[in-house]
Amino acid sequence: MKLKPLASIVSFGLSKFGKREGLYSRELFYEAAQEAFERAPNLDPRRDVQALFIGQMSEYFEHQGHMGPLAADWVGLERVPAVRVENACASSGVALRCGLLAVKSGLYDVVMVGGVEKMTHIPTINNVEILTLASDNPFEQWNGVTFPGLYALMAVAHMERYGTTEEQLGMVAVKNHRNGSLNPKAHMQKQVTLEEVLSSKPVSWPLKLYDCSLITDGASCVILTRPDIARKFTDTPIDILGSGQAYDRLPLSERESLHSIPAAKLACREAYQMAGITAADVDLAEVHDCFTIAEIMAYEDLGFCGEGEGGKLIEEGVTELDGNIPVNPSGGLKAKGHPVGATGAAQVYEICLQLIGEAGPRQVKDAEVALTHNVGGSGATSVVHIFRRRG
Amino acid sequence: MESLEEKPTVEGFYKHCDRGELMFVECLSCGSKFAAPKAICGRCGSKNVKWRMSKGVGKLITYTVIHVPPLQFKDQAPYVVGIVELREGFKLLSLIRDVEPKNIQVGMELKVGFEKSNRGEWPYWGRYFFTPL
Ligand SMILES: [Zn+2]
Repeated sequence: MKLKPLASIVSFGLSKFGKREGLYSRELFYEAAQEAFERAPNLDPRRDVQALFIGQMSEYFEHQGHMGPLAADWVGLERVPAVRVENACASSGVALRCGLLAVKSGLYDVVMVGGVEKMTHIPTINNVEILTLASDNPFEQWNGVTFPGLYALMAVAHMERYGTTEEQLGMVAVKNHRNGSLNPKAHMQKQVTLEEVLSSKPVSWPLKLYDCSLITDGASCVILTRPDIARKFTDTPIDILGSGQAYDRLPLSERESLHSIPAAKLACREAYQMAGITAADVDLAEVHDCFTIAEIMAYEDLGFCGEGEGGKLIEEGVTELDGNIPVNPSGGLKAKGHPVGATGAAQVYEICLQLIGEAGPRQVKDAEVALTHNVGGSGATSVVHIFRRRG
Repeated sequence: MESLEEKPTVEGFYKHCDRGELMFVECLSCGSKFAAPKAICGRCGSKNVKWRMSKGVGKLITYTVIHVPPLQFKDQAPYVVGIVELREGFKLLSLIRDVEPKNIQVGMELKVGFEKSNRGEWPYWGRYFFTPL
């Protein structure tokens, strides 16, 4: 394992996820930032934070672009560079990587990264419309495909090739809702049965309502520093050991594979190599379960099991809270919710809580090394990070 | 045919659809074939790419039945969308028409059809779709 981290996390914050009526995204980001500032009393945001990278997928939700300076102003930063990062649902996973690059370059000592999205105030059909913008306009959107639709195309390809079943997909939802029921910040804190998942109404066959992540309001943030100064701000720094990102072609039809996400495999390989670890070293992971099939493919793309064995892995309970590799202890996008721009950094938030042992009833035992896997669109962006608790 | 000498562009692809022609791009350097036209081959980086005309016949390799549609399709749901692998060796995402969801299956043979755009605004060009052969 690598000894010298790329950067260190000294604080982190998350707004309550859910239907946050009456709040603008800037106010949700303030809520996340306040938690981060309270966790690090030695950090003076105005004095110490030198740049902000904030993920936001779309300005159409609130008719609000130019989120960088707006968010920086709302959380009281000095007049620092403030950048909005857009990579669809991977916006804040990529924002983390931008912050990492900024610190690693030596230009800044302390940067803030995060993400935000406010979605629940507009009708579902408008949400479908805005989210679909992350697919290829003339070759996908014109044919009436949606995001559940694109993942359903991958689900059918996976089922045809490996015999993966709707029941196995449903088990991902059951597990993540069980985990989400233990997370007070989750959008849905209610358990569901496999029967309820399988009989829920179709969204894009074979994906049903309970196979889909939630339309959610929320914000997330993380404060990164140079590894050598991290202890100035916290006794429990989380080191980032590896970072990988790759792109693929936007149209799903032009990918090398329909039953996996090739860019996730590339990002994962880069992150593992940088960290000097393999899948066997990962104690827990937060993966991009925008749809249940996405979590099954993530198991395979991250090397938690062989190709085509993702369905078996969920069936055997390996990724449950008390399993060998707990996946999505937070409840995932499925139950915690998926405010798209906030999701990547929200995954990091959960990893930090777990690694410092403050995850309460959903705490994974003896976790030291953890992974986040954040996917944009139907897989044209993938970003993977590896974290370790500093001993 | 003169149009085959044009540089492949997205608008060009849809102008061909307007004339009832399904085009694809072939890389003369590595032989890869793709539908969404671009100036550089995604596999080998060559700019030696040319239009080709497809016979418009292929098979379904995956599909879904969409029940919750985006705005412009709200009156059509439920409808079928699939990825078709054309006999020439390229793939294309498309609406699959004239088939009951319960009768659809991976591997079925399909042929292309075309219709004029009825949007009355940009983009004006025709559209392709597939139906059972
Ligand atoms: Zn080529």
